[in-house]
Amino acid sequence: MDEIRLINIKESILADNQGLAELIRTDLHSRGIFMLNLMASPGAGKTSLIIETLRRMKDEYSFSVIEGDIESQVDSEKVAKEGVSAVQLRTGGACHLDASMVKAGLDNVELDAVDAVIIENIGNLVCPADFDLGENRKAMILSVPEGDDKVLKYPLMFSVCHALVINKIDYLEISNFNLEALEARVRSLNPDICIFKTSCTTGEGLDEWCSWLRKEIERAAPPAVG
Amino acid sequence: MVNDLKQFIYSIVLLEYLIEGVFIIHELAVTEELLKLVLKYAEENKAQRVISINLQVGELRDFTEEWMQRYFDYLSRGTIAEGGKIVLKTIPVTMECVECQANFGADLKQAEISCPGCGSASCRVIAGNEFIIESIGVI
Repeated sequence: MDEIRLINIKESILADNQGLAELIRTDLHSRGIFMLNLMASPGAGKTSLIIETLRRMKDEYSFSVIEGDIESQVDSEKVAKEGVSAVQLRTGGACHLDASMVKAGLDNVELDAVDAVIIENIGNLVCPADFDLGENRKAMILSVPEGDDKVLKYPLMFSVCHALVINKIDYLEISNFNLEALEARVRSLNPDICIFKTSCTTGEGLDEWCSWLRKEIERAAPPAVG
Repeated sequence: MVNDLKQFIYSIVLLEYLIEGVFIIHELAVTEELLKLVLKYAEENKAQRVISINLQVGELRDFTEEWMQRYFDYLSRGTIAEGGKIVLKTIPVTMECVECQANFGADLKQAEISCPGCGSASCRVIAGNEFIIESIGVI
């Protein structure tokens, strides 16, 4: 009878993904490119926020968008309409993007001509929180109709993001969404998070969001020569 | 072959989703990564079979042993890890108070979190995020 041997490993289950994400980050850093990983539930307004952001900022910076939404060309077509290059990832039935998919996407981006990459992650508040994509910043959208209890259900997502965009803020009046309670709860998990209240319909809060993004893009950009 | 299996699992997951309204696919992607690591270490150590896989997973990761086991059973078919048992040890959430640096445990499903020492609501998560394969038992 063979005896059972115990092999000690003590390694992150996602070590492979983490390693590739670090390579992506180092490569983008050396090129002075900023990358944002944008996550949210389906229907929270990821594509709308991206479109509104591009409309306000595309004259200042050269953007590229990596679209991760499942088997759909619709989102990348909307982005292309804004005159911004978009790469559509074919993710099959996947519930999140991982670093290897983003690497494949970046291979199709003209990196020499780009200041910032926005990744539209797959609509889901669970799995995307687990996977580092090599981004500089993670941002998430929570839309008012989804309810203020989402932070109780998906605490990991709220605890890993640098920015939270509370979108569809124009719905606030007709809902029982408790903005104060949500903010307090999010800050008790993640005191450094930046919170924005936006509406892609009325335009409210988008300037604040864009100035945060601008600061982050500038931070990643190489210092001006001379 | 591997892709066919993946498609098959995805279709089961989709069916579960339609029936139960929740995505349980969460565990699938991670189980794929896990199997890769298990096989790598098992082969390096000239193992004939993998008996157990011991994991330490933070409470925040929201993983269930049952689903990891199911996916592991599907994915490991025909490998030396087939039949391996997943043993998941959950690491509870620990918070640190930003004001007084006290550490404390917290139930994140409860409505309010504040430091039991000074009452501050400004805290950060310092444990509960783990995702570690601790060891494997092989013969």
